[in-house]
Amino acid sequence: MFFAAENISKNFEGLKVLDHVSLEVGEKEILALIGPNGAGKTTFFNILSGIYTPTEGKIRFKGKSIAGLASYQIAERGIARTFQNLRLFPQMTVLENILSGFFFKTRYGLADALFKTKRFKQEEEKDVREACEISGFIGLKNKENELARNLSYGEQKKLEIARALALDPSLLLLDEPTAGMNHKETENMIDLIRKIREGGIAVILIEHDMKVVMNISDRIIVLDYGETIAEGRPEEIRNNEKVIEAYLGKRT
Amino acid sequence: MANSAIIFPELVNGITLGAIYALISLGYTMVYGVLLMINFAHSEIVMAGAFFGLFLLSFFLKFTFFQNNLLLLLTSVFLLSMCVSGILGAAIERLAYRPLRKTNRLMPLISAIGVSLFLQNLFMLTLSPEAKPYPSVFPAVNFQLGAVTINSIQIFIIIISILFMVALEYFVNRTKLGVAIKATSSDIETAKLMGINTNSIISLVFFIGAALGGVAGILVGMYYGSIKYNMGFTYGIKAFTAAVLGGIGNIPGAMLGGFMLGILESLGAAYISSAYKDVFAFIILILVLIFKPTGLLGERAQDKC
Repeated sequence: MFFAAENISKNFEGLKVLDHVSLEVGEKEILALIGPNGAGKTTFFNILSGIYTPTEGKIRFKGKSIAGLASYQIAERGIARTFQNLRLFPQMTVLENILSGFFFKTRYGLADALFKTKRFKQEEEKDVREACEISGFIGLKNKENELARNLSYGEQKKLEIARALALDPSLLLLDEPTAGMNHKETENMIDLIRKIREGGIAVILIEHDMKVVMNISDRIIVLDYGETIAEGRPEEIRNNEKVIEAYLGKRT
Repeated sequence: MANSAIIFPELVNGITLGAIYALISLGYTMVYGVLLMINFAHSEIVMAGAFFGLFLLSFFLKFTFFQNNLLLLLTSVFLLSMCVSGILGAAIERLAYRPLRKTNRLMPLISAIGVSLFLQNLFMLTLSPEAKPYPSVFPAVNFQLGAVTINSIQIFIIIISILFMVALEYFVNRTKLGVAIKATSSDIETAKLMGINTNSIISLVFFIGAALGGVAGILVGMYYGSIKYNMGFTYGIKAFTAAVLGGIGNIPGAMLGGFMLGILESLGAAYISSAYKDVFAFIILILVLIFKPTGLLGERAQDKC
C-alpha cells in the first residue's frame, strides 16, 4: 500500500484520544476524515506528520516505516500538511513562505552563499522560478512579494497549500481547507484539490462541510471518540445509521 | 557647555564603538530569535575571538610574506578566527544548551552563565590574568574631514562592521538558508513540518553569531591595543542593551541599536561626563524595558511555548 497507518492509538496522560484507528490511502486517492469535534482527527494528523509519536501502531509510507521519525524527516519523505488555524510565517513574504519548503533540497553550503558561487546562484534562481510557478498554480500570482500576514484569509489558506506543495509531496494532509470560506472560495478550493490530485498527489482531508466531503472524496472515514465508526464511499456514508447518530444524536 | 572640540572626537569614537556593539548584538538577537534565549556566554565569545585573533596575528606576523601583504594577512586572520569562534559558539549550544532545551526556560540561561564563567577562568588560567598587548598591523593615520578627525583604525572598524552587516542582511533576506533561519525564528514547529532540520539551523545561527562576535573581539583589540580575559563583560552587556533597544530578535534593530547606543554614549560623555559613560547604557536599557520593551523595531514577542 502507498500509505497505511495501522492500529494507531494515542493516550494523553491516560486519556485515550485515538483507539486503534487504521487508515489506508492509495496513490492519487482523496480520502476524507470526518467526525464530530473532539473525535481525534487533528491528533491523527499530528501523528501522521510526526508532531506526536503514537502510543501504539505502525505507519508505512511508500513501503517504509515512518513512525517515530522527526517531523522534518517525514516532510522530506513527501508528506506535507496544512493547519486548521493558519500557521504561516506571517512576517515573511509569500515567496519566502514557499521557499521554506525547498530548504531540505539545498545542495550548496554556507561558503557557497558567502562567495556567491555559480552553484549557489543557479540553485537560488531555479528555486525562485519554481516558487513562482507554485504561486501561479495556486492563484497567488503577483502576490509573491507581499507579507503573508497582509493577505486575505482566503489567500492565506491558499498560501499554506502552496507552501506544502513546495515540499513536492506525494501525500498532502489538509486540515479543514474550506473552513471560514464563502461559497465561491469553497468552489475554488474544491477545484484546487482536484487539480492537486490530478498532479499525482494523494490527499487526506479533514473537513466539516459535508457538501465538500461528498463532492470530492473517493472514500470517507468517520471517527467518533477516537474510534473508527464507519468507512466507505460517499454514498455509503451518507446513509450510515451510526454516522447519522454520531452527528445528530440517537433517534428517539 | 560642550564644544565641537569635544563633541566630534567623542562622536567618531561613539560611531566606532557603535559599530562594534552592533556586530556583537547580532549574536544576541539571532539566538534570541530562534530559541527565545539570552546567550550570556556570547560576551565570552567576543573575548575568545579577540584572543584567537591575537594568536593568529602573532603567528602570521612571523612570516615576511604576511608582513608585506596587509590585505592577505587581515583576510586570513579574520576568516580563520571567525571559523574558530563560530565553531566555539556552535559547540557551546550543542553541549550546554541543547540537552536542556526541553526543560524549564531558566535552565539554559543558568547554563549560559556557567559557560561564561568557565571560559573567563579558562582564559585567565591558561593565558594570563593580565592584559595582553595587541599587535598593531597598520599605523593610526589621522584624516581630517572638515572639523572631524578620524583615524585609519576607526575607518577600518566601521567599514569592516558595515561590510559584515550588509553580508548578513543579504544572507538572511536573499538566500534559502536565510529563509530557513527566518522560518525557524518565526515558528520552530512549523519550520520542522516544512522539512527544515531546525537543529542544524540553530547550530548555524550560533555559528554565525559567534563568528561575528569573534570579529568584534579582534576589532576591540585593534582599537584599544590590548585585550584581557574579562573584557567581554562590558561589551556583552552593552551589545545586549543595543539588541533590546533595537527590538530583540530583530536583525536590523540590533544594528540600529548598536549605532544608537554608541552615539548616545558618546554624546553623554561629551555633554555630561565621560566618567558616567557606562551608566548611560544601563539607563537606556532600563528606560527601554520600562517604556518600550519591544524596542524600536521589535514586534510584540509571540510566546512560542
